[in-house]
Amino acid sequence: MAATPDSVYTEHHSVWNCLSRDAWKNPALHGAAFCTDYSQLAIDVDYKNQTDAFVLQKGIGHTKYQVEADTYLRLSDRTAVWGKASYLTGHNRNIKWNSVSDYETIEPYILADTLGGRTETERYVFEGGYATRLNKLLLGGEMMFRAEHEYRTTDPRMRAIVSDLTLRAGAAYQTSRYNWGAAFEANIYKQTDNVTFFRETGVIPEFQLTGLGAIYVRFSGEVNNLYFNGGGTQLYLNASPVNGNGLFGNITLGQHRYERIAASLNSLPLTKLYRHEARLQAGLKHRSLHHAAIYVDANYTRRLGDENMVGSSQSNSYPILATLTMYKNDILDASINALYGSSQQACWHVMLKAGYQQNNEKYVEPERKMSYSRIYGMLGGQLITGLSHRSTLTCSLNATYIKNADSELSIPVLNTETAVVEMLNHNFRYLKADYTKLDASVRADHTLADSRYGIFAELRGSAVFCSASDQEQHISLKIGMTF
Amino acid sequence: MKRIIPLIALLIGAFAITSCHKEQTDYYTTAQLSLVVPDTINVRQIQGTLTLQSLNTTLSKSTSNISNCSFSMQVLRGAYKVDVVGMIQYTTANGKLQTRHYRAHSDYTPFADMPLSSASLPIILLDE
Amino acid sequence: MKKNLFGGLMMLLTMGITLSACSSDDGPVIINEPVSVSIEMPLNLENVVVSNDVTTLVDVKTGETHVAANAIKKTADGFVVEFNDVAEGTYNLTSQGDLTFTVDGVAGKSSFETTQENVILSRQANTAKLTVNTFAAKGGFVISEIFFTGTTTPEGKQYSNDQYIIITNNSDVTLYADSLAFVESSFLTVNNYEYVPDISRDTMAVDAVYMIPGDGMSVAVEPGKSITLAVNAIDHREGNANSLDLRDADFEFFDVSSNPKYNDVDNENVPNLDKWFCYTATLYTMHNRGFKSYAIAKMHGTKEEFLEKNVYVGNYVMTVAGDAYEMKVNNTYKVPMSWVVDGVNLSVEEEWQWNVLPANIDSGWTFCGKTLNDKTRYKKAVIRKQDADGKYVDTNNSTNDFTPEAVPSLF
Repeated sequence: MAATPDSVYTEHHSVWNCLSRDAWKNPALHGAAFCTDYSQLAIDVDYKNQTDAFVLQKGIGHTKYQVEADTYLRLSDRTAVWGKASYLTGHNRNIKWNSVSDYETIEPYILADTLGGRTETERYVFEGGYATRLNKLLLGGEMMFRAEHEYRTTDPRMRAIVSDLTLRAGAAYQTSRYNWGAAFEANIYKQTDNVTFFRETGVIPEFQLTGLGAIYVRFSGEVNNLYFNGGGTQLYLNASPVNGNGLFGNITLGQHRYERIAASLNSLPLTKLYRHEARLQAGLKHRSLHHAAIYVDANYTRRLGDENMVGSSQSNSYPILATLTMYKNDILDASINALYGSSQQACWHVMLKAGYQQNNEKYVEPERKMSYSRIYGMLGGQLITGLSHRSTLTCSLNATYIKNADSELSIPVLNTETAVVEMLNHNFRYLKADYTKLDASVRADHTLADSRYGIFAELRGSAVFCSASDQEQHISLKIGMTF
Repeated sequence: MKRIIPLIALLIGAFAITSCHKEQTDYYTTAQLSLVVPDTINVRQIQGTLTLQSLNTTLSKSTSNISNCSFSMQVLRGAYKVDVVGMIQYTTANGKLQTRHYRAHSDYTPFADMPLSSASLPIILLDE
Repeated sequence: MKKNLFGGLMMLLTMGITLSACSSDDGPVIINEPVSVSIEMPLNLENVVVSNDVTTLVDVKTGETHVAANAIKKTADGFVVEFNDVAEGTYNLTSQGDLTFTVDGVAGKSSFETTQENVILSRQANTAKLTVNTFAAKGGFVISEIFFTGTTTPEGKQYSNDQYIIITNNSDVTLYADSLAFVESSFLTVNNYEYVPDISRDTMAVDAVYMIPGDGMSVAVEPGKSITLAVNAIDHREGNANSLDLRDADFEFFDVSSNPKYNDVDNENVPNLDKWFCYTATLYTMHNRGFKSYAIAKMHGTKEEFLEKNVYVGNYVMTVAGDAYEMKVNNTYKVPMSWVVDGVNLSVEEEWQWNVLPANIDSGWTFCGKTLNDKTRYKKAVIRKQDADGKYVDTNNSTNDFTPEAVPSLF
């Protein structure tokens, strides 16, 4: 006979919370997210492996170890604080065509070579937030800092150091039925990269990539010291029903820019990447005996890359002849989602998602194009049940199917190095493939007698089957304490 | 509710206007290369091929359309290595008709002005 | 109200998806009219007849090829070849074949090949023009091989004493090599400093001049024959099993060293070059990474007059870590470009910054090695190509004229 699961645990872990995650980006609303305190300290081992790299720049897998402390404290019914600190160490395997970190953020403007290899990685994260209520006004502030260090111990010895600081300030006004929120975020990003070779006979050129296989030949080869300066701002607007029933909506608008600068060429800026994002999540939710929600989630990102056409150097200072927007990338992801469940006895939910994704990339001259579109569907469920009056079991299972609708790759093969064409063809094979993904996770929590401490263990696994006859396996094990 | 929607629209609009990046789409310019011929000769006929190699990407573009000792070609703005090879038929000061090969070269020439970017190179007459 | 808002959102979403999904991707657009490629013949040729021609259009994106064989027609506007059903795009054009012609009344024949890359063809621009530059091989002495990388010893150390250069008589008559000097450029192709004064157009700045001695008719070289100048005309295999025997060289470089530890070996059976000047006070070797340019020049006047009158006095600007320094040029003499018979620029792809020699001597460059310290460069030479009748190709462009990283011929 299953007992009722721990209500504090359920409040913080139920999948029903995914409806509010966008709203909680506003620190003022995050302060009103939970009624109970919850803290967790865990160590985590994560292993991922692909039979062949789906994206060459991300490698075929990783093994990572993490220590993480996470807390949400209700100081009073008006004030809440939350924070997170974590340290991660591990390695990525077989990274190719990528000598920088944060590939997905700054691509295509990266430094790359044909050899690559395994990289060691370390990451520190510190986050902290505070929110309070003054009558009908909710205020909150949050800070997030990430420092990352990625390096390789064999030639080509790349080293990337990232520091990423985000500050958020938000407010919300509570009317009789809705919380209307607005938050503003500012981000400062910096990454320094360099690549050195210890063995003189093994020196290979490092290419400055400029998009879809285009290479900035003039500064490729020995310009191995780069840094990226960037940052941006983001605006969040939220409408969230006070009692959890009704229409809800979240709008996010952001713009970020990242400039690649060659340190050894008198800090010459080579390229600048601009990213504009707009995101809308809106729907209807209803919570009584049963929970039901239906909502749309649409995400549009436009990335533009400016390339500097550089003139001849006079006494090591390079004039910039022209700046041209040579790279354009449009990404659209829209889905309709439904969630249904209950938290009477056991807390269970089923989720259904159907969506469409499209990605168009273009480089102006010589013209290069890559695009693909896909439709996807996901069916999943989560069950949180009590095993005894002190133990809780959480199981979740998801199945996703992604089907390619359309794809195109058009590259001036005669004007592109053979190795680069192979790289693009490899990545494209996986971009236009179909995928079937299965995720499962099991977690057991046990509260120790006469205390507020608990221990837990969680095992997650996922398998991805690709129509290009390759696979990915991902396993992680987490154990820790809750209090 | 009525007051809030215009406020939302204003916030979105303000954000969009201040943050949107203006695309730099003035990609091309007409590169005009004029050949400077020595004063001592009178050109009767000239033919040649101009090759511009981008110093950024090493891609080359050529044209053989020459008129009045000058080539015109649409190129991506930037810095180029310029090479001209061809033949020139001319009369010398004392009226003698000669046909010779010529060359012109520059390791670096910027073509970035719009809509027209001009440069000139002296020709080197090759011995026959 | 709720229903309206929700319905409105759904409509917006659907519209958004439809609009962005409607990036219509058309197939290739075929140019309706035939693409017309005109081929302009050299000005000095008359009565030109084209035969065995093959003209090719290669699509840069797809690699698709259009080939027209024996299709060049002579029209009122010149030679034209047409292609049908060509799709819009960017193409590499090549045309090659044989020509017969008369030049100044004398009949001649030649083959031609001309190429243009990245030509854009579209419905608005469906013509292209290629110009043929038959550059007749120049007669006279040419540098036919430079072996500058040296070898490595079995222990892996560098060994540069076995360098040599081969000069060939590329004409149809016997020529005399007296007073022909081997010169090395003072400036490097990998450092494009601003030189003041800039004399590079009509004067070559040299830091080594070694001249073939003679009274004007002592060193006869028959048509097609070569002479070898060796840095050391000894059997190098004795000291380095990987090297070669240069005792049969025609001339050798002999230096009197200021350092008693390093003395030059003098093979008494091989005449020494007359050393006019060298920058080093010890033993001369060529730049073994190939960063300098080399030439052969016919020297005029005496050594003493040259050393007195042809010193290069000048400065250059060098930048180190962002600061500019004005440096004085030392150990450099001027050789008028009109004395230069043939020259070759050497560099490496990764470091090339400029061609030290002007375009009419060498508008390209050649190499052994691709990177700054390419360990694979040893025991390789640059060798001038020969055409079907055995003549050395000389279009004053060593990128085309030389085979880089070739097996040295004397090994």
